[in-house]
Amino acid sequence: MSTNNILEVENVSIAFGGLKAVNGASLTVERGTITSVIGPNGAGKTTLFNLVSGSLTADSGSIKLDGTSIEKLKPHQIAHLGLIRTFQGAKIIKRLSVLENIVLAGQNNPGEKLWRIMTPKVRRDYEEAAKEKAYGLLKEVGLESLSDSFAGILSGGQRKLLDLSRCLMADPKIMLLDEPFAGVNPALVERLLTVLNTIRAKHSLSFLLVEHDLETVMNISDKVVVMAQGQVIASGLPGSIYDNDVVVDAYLGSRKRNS
Amino acid sequence: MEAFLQPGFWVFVLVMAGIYCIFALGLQVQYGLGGMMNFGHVGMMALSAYSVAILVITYGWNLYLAAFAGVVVAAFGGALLGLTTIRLRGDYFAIVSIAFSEIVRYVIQNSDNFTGGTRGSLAIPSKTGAFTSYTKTFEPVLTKVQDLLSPILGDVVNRDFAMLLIVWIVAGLLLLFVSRTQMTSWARVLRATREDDHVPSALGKNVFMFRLQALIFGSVIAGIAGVFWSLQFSILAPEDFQTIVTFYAWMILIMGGATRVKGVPVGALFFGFLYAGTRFFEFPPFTWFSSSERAYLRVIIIGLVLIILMIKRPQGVFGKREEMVLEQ
Repeated sequence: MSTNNILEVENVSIAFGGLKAVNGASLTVERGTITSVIGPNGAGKTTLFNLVSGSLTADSGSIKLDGTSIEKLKPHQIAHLGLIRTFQGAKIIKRLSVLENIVLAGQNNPGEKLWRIMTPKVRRDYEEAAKEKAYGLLKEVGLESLSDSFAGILSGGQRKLLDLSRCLMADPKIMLLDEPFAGVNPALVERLLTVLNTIRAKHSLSFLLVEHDLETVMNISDKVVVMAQGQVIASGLPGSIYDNDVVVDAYLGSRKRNS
Repeated sequence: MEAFLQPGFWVFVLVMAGIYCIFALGLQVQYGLGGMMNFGHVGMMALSAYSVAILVITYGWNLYLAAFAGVVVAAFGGALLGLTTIRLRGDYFAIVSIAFSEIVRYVIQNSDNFTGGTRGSLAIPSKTGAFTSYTKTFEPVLTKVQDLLSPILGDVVNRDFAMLLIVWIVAGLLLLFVSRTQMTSWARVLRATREDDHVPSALGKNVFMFRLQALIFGSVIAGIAGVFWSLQFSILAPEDFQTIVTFYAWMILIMGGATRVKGVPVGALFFGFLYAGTRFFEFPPFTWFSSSERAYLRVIIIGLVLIILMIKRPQGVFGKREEMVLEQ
């Protein structure tokens, strides 16, 4: 049964001083599905993300990516294994061109080894193929006309799209998206959702999302995990979350009752 | 004023500009490409220059072997600095790197029996006990170059002129090589790390290794500059390698445009002429000051030029403005 899970987080905890930011949280992401983690500010969602992606090391617990333990690995090693994440607010490299932002994400690029200066052909072949692929990905999100501009001139929405294409360039098994819909206008949310669905269908990917708001991820999520105060308080199908008393009390409470 | 008109003087200025060009090129790799605020760059030049002198004088090594070893020592210096401090961010790295170069200088200054201490390389204990110059085997090379060139170019050709040729040929080759490396994906990752650690590492890049490589690469180039420094002066002293020398390289980078390799030689020439040329302000208002006071004026003028440049053209002569000021 575990073979069907691309990501298994089991009982992980981390404390900053006295504060238990994540306290024994567990979740799984099934292959080819979208799992969303929701919860109020300070619930430990982003900390959990940082633990999974290796930016932080858990005090205890285990994290398995496609059957491999990753809880002790560094971020770049985890990325090599096929887990690619985004950051809140779409961190792009402002002083690289839009296209280069994407090419940067290519894996096993021989040109990234300094000694490869001696083998220009190997470098050039990879680079040409990578640029072509990157351009294709840009086209998918409609940014191809901006490919040579510095990424710093992009608008907030365009940055989110660039961020998504950049993740795809790395050919990930699973993508972790940290608040992909935060600060985005409703029209663009629609667009992002469409893009996400297309990506998911086309690249047969798994996703783990962190979001504030249940409504936004309701329609695309296969599973929703609710966090509060560092703990997973509920998980299940999006619909079932509304009916869960613990969740209603801890998080959805007032809104649910008012409606 | 007479020296101002002497070609020999300008040849010397050009030699120094060439050495500074190589030196600043190393910093370009570290800062312009990798965004590392290395304020201890001169330490690597000192390590290499002194290694050459010590290996030849004390241990009787062949000069060329010693030169190679000098560059290797500088590379190890870069690795040592990197392995211990590279995880520090921006300003903190800058502070520690300054300390590194000062440690190098103080160790040199206080190891009398090894480096000659404050008396400089003349006091390095020699194997035979007799005074030896470590550049002895290099002088015939310079003489040969002079002999080849003087029939064609006439009186201009002297020791410095031969040196000028050698230094700038090496500088040219290095500039070419470094600009090649900056068109690779290796350089792209470094450009990304210049802005942010998290994104490149989330994309599978080992940021630490890339920074370390850039730091060592730059240190090797500083080591080459150190070899030429030692060959040009034949005598070394600890005070040649004060922190201000690092900042000359920074001036060159800022003037030329830190993100572009081709800015380095332009900045170096600009710096060379500014630095040497301002010695000869033999007209009012400069003549109101005594010559020793004018030496300070020179530094003030360089500072003013830098300030004006930072306001009017923060990207330097060749940099792309967007690449410098793009912040939102």
